[in-house]
Amino acid sequence: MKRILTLFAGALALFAAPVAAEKIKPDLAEYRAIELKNLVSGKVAIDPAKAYIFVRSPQNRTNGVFLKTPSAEEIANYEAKWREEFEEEVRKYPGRLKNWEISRQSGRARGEKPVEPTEATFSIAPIDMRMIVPFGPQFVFDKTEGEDKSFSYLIEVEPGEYTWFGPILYLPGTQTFGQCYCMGSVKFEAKAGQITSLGDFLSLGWADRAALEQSTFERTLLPDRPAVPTDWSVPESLAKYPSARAELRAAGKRNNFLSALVGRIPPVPGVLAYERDVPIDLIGLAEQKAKAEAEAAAVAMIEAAEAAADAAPIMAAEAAEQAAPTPDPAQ
Amino acid sequence: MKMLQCAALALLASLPAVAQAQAIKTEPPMKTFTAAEIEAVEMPNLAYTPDPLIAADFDKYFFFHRPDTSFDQAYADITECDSLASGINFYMGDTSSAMAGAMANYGVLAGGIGGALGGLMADAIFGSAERRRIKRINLRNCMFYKGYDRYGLEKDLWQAFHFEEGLSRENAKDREAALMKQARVASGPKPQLEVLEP
Repeated sequence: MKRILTLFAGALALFAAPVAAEKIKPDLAEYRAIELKNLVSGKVAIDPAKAYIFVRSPQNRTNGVFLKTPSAEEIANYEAKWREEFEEEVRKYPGRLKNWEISRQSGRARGEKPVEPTEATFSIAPIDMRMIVPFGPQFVFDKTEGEDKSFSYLIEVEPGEYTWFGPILYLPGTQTFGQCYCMGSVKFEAKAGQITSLGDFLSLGWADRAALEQSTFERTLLPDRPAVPTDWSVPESLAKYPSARAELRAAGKRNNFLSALVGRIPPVPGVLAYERDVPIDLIGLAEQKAKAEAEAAAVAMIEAAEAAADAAPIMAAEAAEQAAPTPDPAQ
Repeated sequence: MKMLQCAALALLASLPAVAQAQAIKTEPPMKTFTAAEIEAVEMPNLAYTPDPLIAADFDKYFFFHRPDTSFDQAYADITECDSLASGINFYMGDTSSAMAGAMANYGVLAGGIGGALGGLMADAIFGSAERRRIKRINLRNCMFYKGYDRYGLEKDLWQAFHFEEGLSRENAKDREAALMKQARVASGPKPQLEVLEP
């Protein structure tokens, strides 16, 4: 066993040397916008190994950010990158401190004294930064004119779970515009080879004023209009591909790592509710209730069967008693 | 059999608590303070005579209060909202996910100062006044969700226990002291002032 371990360690050391020379590349969420004209011309094709998110926006162009849930490999890659950067900082620290000391002694000290990096305090950019999937307002899939004017978007992504992070305009390295749904949103699974349709859900037409009021303290800008059910359909141009309506689940709070305006999606009937600021997973709740009720029913059945079994000998004895009455002691 | 019964009964009894189980918690554990620690936090002065001139700035100078709220809870709420408002990392990810472990172990939560630095670029474009405005909107939304009431305050009194955004380690200490005082006010006696719109 020991020999195997030694061999294994040796093999690892062989691999470790070239890896150390090259810096770890971050695992980024992959995405691209698909345009109908390119699909028609054959410039791009629907890839059965990829997943597709469809969004329709009535009247206006739109934009937003989805966050991919990182896979185990992506988390491992992030951790390895953290380790690499941490070790580099540790290596650089004595030199930095020395430079700072020399500057201080010569009266040219600028900035604060360097702090020794430790595992507890060292950080790199959060993993969420790598999981950003933005879309819009450009690169629309298609647009329709007239009364039902709309702009649609089709985003090719890796299969996996995606959280709707909000109507944010994300341009790397610049100020972020828009609002993050940092304090409550929805997530869904985007399956391989399938168009997962959000329809016009992201435009919030389904939320009435009372629901909208739960998502912001601002009252003056809120529209006062009746709620309209979400149209989950995909256009005729995508009819030949497998498609499904996105199955929404509640998603918890997220850090405001893009420094956007902070908000939350209005409560989504049957999916997401709020207890003050705490998002509640209504589907999980319904599942748990059903499970508890089924278990209670099972217990009740067992109890009834047991009661019947307990009662049976007593009833038999009573019957026997009636058939042969006890003789009168006087006789 | 009896065990099964007990388990089922417990489940039934806890049905209202099931909602609690489905609450998606991503916050780090709440920090607890002793009575002496809370007592040591100076209670800021909130007494002033309201006038229209002061009231005109209530969208900038305000504080929060919620009845029947403990200091620990208020501190947790205020820290959470302040972090979100300033772009500082606070949540750990779903407790069920591998993310939580990664975030706890890899110092993401310690990235406060680094996280806030992103704002420098924004300042270059918009100026810090815009950033302060965004922070105020964020705070108001977050505390509104949490059910806190908002009250207006005179500027000098406000400055005694609030801070402007800053990026140095020194400011991190001031920030902590200010948040403690804000928690003291938020969990203290109900202010004798008019409750503003959220």
